[in-house]
Amino acid sequence: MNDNQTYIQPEILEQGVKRVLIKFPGGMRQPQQALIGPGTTTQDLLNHLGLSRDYALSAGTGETTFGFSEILYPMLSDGDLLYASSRVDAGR
Amino acid sequence: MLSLLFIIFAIGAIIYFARMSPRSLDELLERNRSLAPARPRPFVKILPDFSNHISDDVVKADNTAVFLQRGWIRKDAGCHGYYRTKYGSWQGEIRRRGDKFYVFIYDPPTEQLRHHSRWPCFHQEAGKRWRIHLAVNPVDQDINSIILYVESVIRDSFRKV
Repeated sequence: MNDNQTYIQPEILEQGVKRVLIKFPGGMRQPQQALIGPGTTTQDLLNHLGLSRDYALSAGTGETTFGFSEILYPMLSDGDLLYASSRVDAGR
Repeated sequence: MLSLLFIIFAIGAIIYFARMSPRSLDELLERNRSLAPARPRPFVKILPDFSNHISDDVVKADNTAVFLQRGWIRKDAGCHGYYRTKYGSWQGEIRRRGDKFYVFIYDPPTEQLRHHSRWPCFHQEAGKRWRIHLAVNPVDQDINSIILYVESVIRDSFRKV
């Protein structure tokens, strides 16, 4: 088997695993590809990326920032692009 | 005799479970959360190195930092550039002092922004310069996150009008 290929159990593939590409807007970290299954939340994906809840995931633009406990799976299509950026918020 | 006892026990069990309404089960679970079934762990796998999974024929993902993509430059202890959205571009400036960032925008679209929930965080300074007060600064000191955030606020304000 090719070393570059990752073996995934057939029963997991049957569940409809989706591939997503996660980019880091700072450019300090290489984009990473992830496979997510049904029920995956933002928290699950951030945990696997080694990021705390000080980070947020958005789809393409900042206007589509996902909640920390939001289930990502139904919101994404196979091959979608996500941005992982540190959380920023304005306040008085 | 034994079968009669079994039938009586079975009828008793059916009556007991029939009287236990779903609502009371919910209340029981609410009172004792440890009884609630744990959420099954979803399948998540991070592939070790993205660049190893694509061939030379495939265009690799652009990894340029956002502030470079937007043409921001570092000058006078700050970063200068434009917040760019599909609704327009606005000149901006981001200065850092310690762990805190001071975020500015010049001549912002006030008509749209005044309907946004973050409008009270915009403070007019001299002339056309406005300061955006940050309550949450990026934990990794990444100004790219600030640029994306300000752009998202501008976009949201236009969409709400």
